[in-house]
Amino acid sequence: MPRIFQKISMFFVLLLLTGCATTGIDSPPALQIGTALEPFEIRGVLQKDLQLGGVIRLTGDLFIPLGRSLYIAPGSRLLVVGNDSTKIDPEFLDKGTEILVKGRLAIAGRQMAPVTLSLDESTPAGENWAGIELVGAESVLLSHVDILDAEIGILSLNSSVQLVQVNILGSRYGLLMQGGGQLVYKGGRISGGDAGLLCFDRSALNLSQVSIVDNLEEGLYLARGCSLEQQDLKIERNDLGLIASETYRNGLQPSLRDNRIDFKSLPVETLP
Amino acid sequence: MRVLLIFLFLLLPVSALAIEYHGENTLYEDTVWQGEVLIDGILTIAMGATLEIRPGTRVRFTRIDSNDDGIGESEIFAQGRFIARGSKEQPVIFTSAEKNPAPGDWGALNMMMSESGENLLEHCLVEYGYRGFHSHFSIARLQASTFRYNQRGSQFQESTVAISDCDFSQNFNGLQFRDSKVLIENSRVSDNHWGIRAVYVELRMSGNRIEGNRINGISLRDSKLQLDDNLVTDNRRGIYLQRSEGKLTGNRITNNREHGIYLEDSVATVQGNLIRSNGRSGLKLLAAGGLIEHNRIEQNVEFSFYNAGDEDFNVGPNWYGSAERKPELMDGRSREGLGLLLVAPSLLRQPEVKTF
Repeated sequence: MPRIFQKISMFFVLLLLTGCATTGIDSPPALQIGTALEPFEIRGVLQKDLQLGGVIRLTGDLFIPLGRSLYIAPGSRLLVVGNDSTKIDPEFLDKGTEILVKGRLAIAGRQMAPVTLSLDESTPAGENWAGIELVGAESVLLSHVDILDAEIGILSLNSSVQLVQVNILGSRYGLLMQGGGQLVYKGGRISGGDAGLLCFDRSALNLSQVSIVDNLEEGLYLARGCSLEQQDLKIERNDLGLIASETYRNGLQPSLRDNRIDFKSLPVETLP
Repeated sequence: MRVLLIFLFLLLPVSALAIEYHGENTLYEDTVWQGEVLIDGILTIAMGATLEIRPGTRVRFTRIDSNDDGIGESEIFAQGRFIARGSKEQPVIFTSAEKNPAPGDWGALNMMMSESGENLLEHCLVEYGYRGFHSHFSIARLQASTFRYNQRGSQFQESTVAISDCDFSQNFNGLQFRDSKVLIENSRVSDNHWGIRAVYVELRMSGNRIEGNRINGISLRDSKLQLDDNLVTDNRRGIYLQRSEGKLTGNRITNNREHGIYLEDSVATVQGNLIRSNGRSGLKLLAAGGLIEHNRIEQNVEFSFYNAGDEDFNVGPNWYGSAERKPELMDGRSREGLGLLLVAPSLLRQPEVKTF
C-alpha cells in the first residue's frame, strides 16, 4: 500500500479510537502518527506537550518535566531501543533506556486497541530497558497497556498512579511503589519477572481483579506502612506469595495459591 | 610608592563592594573575594591564578538556560586554583540568585585540569546547582561543607578527592564519580535518589552515615571498596557491588528496603558487621566470592543469604540471633538451578560490632 494511504488509514483508525478517550490531560495537542515504515522517533527532554499514535520509537531516555504532558493514543506500539548506557540531563535514574516522568503521562489504550511498550528489534540480545519511572509525577494514567521486558515496569517514587487493564510481563520487577502515593489498579497481570509488586514505605494500594503470578521471587510485598484494599486479587505460583504483617494473613488467604511459600510474616521489630 | 600602593590594592580583598561578572570573564591574576558576588555567565580562573574566597562570602549565580535543557549555565570554571574557606560561624555560600530557587539553576563549581595544587571547599554551603562540585583531572578536598538541593551534589572524573565532615542531602543524586581515588570520612549522604554511585574507583569510607537514599546507598561497578565503621540504613538497597572487590568491616547495614549487601560478580570480605532488618535478604550473592564471617546477621525479612548464582558459596561462622539459631537460606535447595549455600556452624557468642 502506498505510504500516503497507510498514513491516512492510520489517521482515521486513531481518530475513531481516540474519540472518547479519557486522558487525564485537559486538551491534548494535535495527534502525530508514526508508521511501521516511518515511526515517530522520540528521546530527550520533552520540550512541549505531545500526543503520539501509531508506531513510536524511543531511541534514548525520555524525560517529561514538571508541567509537560505526553499522551499516547489507543493502538500505539512504543518500541524501546534498549541500551545499557543511556544518560539524560538534567537527570537520569537508570543506566538503561528510561521514561522519567515528573509531569503528566497518559497512555490511553482500549480493549480492542491496547498500547504495547516493548523492546525494539535493534536491541542487543540480553538487554532490557529501565521502564517507566515516576518521580513526584503530576498525573499518571495507563489504560489497556502491556509493558514488556523492563527492569522495573513501573517505578513510582512519591507518585500516584492509575492503572486499568495493565499487564506487566517479563520485567525484573513489575511494579515498585516507594515513598508514598496511591496506586489504583483495576484489572491486569504482573507475571514472568523476579518480583511482582513491591510496596515500601507508606503507599496505599487499591487492587481489584489483579493477578500476580509466576514470578521467581516475591508476588506481593507489603512493607510496614503500606496499606491494601483488594478485590479478586490472585497471588499464585510465585516463590514467596505474600510478605506482609501478620494482620493480612487471614484476609488474603483466599488469594494465595500454589506459591512455594504462600505467606511470610514481617518480623516483629525488636531493638538491636 | 605608586607600585607599592597598587600591589597592596591587589592584595586587598574585594570587600564591601558587591562584585558582579556578566557574560564570559577570566581571572588571570590571584583574586580574593569577600562579601557579595554575582555571577551572570561563566567565570574562568586561568591556569596559574588562584581564587580565594573568604568567610562570610555569598556567591550567587543567575539562571541562564539558553538551550532550555533545564540546566543553568552560570558557573565557575577553575583551571587555576580554587580555595573557598569559610568558617563554622561564617560559611561561604554558593547559591542561586533566583527569587524562587530550584535545583539546576546554575552549573557547577568546576575544577578542570586543576592539579597544580589542592583545591579546597571548607565550611561551604553549595545549593541549587546542577553539579555542586565538579572536577576532571584535579585534586580537591571537601571539608565540613554542605551540598544540598543540587541535581548532583558532587560529580568528578579522573580526580583525587578527600571528603570529610560533609553533608550531601536532598540532592537528586548525592555523589557520582569515576576513574578516581576517593576518601570519604565522617560524612552524611542522605535523602538523595542515588547515594554514592561510582565506576572504576578506589574508594575508602569510614565513619559515614549513608541513609534514606531512594535507590542504592552505595553502588560501585568495576571498583575497589574499603568500608569501615559506617552506618548504611534505610536506603532501598544498602550496598551494591558489581564486578568489584570489597572489604567491609564493622559496619551497621540495617533497615534497607531490599538487600543489605548485594554482591554481583564481586569478591568481598565481610567481617564484623551488623546486617539486620533489611527488607528482602541480608546478603544477596550472584556469582560472588569471598569471605563472610563473624557478622551479626539478624531479622532480615526474607532470607539471611540468597544465592542467586549457579555456583555454591561457602559461608563462614556468623551469629544469627542466638547460638541455636540457623540462617534462613534461599539457594539450590529451594529453586532448581541455583548454587548451594554451605554454611559453617553458628558462632557460640555474639560478636562485637564496633561501629562509631
